Amino acid sequence: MKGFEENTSATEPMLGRRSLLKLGMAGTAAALASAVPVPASASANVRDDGFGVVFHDDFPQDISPDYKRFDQSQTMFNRHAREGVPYYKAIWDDSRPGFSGSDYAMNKASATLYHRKQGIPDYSMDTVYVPNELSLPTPYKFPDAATAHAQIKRVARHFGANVVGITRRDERWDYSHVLKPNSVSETLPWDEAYPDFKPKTVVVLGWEMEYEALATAPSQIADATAFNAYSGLTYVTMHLARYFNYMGYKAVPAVNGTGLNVPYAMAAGLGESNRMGMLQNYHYGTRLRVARVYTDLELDEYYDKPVTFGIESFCANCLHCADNCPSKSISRDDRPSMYTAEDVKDKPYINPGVRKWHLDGEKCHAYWIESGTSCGTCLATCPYNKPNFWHHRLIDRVNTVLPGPLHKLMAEMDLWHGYGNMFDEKAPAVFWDPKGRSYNGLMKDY
Amino acid sequence: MSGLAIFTGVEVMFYWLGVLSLACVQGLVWLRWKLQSSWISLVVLAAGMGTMLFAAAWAISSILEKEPQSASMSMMVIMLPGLVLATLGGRLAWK
Ligand code: SF4
Ligand code: SF4
Repeated sequence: MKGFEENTSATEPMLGRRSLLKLGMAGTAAALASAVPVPASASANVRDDGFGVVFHDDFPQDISPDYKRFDQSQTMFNRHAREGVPYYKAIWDDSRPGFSGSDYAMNKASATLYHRKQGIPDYSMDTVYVPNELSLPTPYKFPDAATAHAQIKRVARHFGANVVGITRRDERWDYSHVLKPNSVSETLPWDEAYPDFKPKTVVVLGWEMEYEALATAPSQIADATAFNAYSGLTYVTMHLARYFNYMGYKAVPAVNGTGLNVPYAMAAGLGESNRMGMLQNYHYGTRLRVARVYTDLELDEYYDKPVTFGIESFCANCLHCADNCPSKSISRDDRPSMYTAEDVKDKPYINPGVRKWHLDGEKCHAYWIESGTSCGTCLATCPYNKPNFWHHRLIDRVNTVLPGPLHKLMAEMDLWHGYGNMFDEKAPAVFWDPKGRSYNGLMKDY
Repeated sequence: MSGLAIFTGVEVMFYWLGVLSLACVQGLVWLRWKLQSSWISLVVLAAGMGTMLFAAAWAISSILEKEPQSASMSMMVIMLPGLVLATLGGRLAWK
C-alpha cells in the first residue's frame, strides 16, 4: 500500500433474518405510500410524464434577505491551497479491490482534460505520450491477458467509446511515412517519426454518430455528428493514452493519423469492410467513427479476432450507397476487386493490394466542396444504419444467416419500409424535435 | 407507464404483448382440452397468432421510432399472412 494508513479495515454490518424481514415490511409500506398519487397544489404543477415531480416558480430553498454573493477565494479547496494543505494524493495497492495500479491509472487519466488548465502541458494527436512523475514506478502487470483485455476495454468505455477492440500492432496498416506536424507534404518514415517508441498493441475505438443527425445528410447537422464523434474520439484516445502512461507505458493517440483505421478495426474484430471500403460494424453499421491508441504494453495473448457476418454478400446484392452517392464515387462492381499498381497509377490516393470495393476519394471530396458539407449520404442510406431498436437488431442477425439472393430482397424491403431516403428535407425537423424518437419514453427534459 | 417516466415505450409494449401471448396460450390449451381440437389446427392457429403478435410488435416499435411507413408495411407483409393463418387454424380448431 502506497501513502495510505494501515488498519483502516471496514467491517460491513451483517443483516440477520429478523432484520431482513423488518426491512422487507418497511420497503413494502414505503412502496405503498409512494404509490399514492401526490395531489397537485394550486402553486405547483405535477409533471405529465412523472408523478411526484413539482415545478416551482421560485428557487425552492429559503434565502435570507442578508444573502451575499460568495467570494471564490473562500472555497474550501482555495483556502486549503493557500494554507498549503494538499488536495490529496491518489494511492494504489494491488491487494485492495478498487486500488490496483490499473484503477489508479484510470483515476489519474480521467483528469487529463480537466487538469490541462492547471498547468499540465498541452497534448495533441499522433505524438508519443510518456509516463510522468505520477506514473507507477514500475510498469503495471495485469494478472493475465484476459483481465488486461477486460480492463482496457472497460476503461475505454469509461471514457466514452462505444466499441473497443484490441489487436497486435501490424506494420502493414501503419503509414510508411507520416506527415511532420503542421505540414501536408513533408514526411518522415514511421520509425523515424517515433524513434523511441516500439508499439506492441493497438486499441481500436469506435464512437457512434447520432442516427437522427446522420439521417439529414448531406447537411450541417450530419457534419455536426461526424465532427462530434471525432472530438469524442480525441477525448477517448488522449485519456486512454494517459491511462497507459500512468500504468508506466508509452502510448500514441491517433484519430486519422499514423495509420489506417479500417484494417486495424477489422483486425480487432470490430466489423467487416463494405462496398464503400469502410467499416461495417455489427452493432452500429456504418454509423461509427474509428480511432486508435498504440501502446508498448504487450499482452501474452490477443483474443479479438477478425469477424465476418455476411456483409460482402449483402453489399453484392445491395447498391443503396452507390445509387444514392451524388458524385458516383462508390463502386458498382458485383464483387470486390484486387487493384494492382497499374490500376491506380492515376489515383495515388488508392492503395492497391487488398481485395475490396474501392471508393474514389477524389470524386467524393469534389462533392464535399460543391455541397459545403462532408456529405455522408452513403453512410446514412445503408440498411445497416438503424437506430437502436430490437427489430433492427433482429434483422441484422437474420441477415447474417440468409443466403445471398435473399439479401437482395432484404435490401429492397428496407426501401419499402421507408428507410434509406436521402436528401430528405423533413429529416432536420426530426432531429430538432424536442421529443425525439420516443422509443425510450423517457425523453422529456429533466 | 412510459408516461410516468418509469418504463420505456418498448418495455411497456413487450409487457402487454406478454399478456396477450399468455392469453393465446390459454386459448390453445382450452381448445385442446374442451374441444379436442387437432394438433395440426392448433399449430396453424399458434403460428398465425404468433405472426400477428410479431406484426403488432413491429408496428408499435416503428411508430415509436417515427417510421409510419414501416408500421404500415408490417401490417401488410406480416399481419395479413398472420391473420390468414390464424383464421384458417381457428376454423379448423373450432369444431
Ligand atoms: S460521402 Fe457522399 S459523395 Fe462521398 S462517397 Fe459517400 S455519398 Fe458519395
Ligand atoms: S448501402 Fe448496401 S451496398 Fe452500401 S455498404 Fe450498405 S449494405 Fe453495403
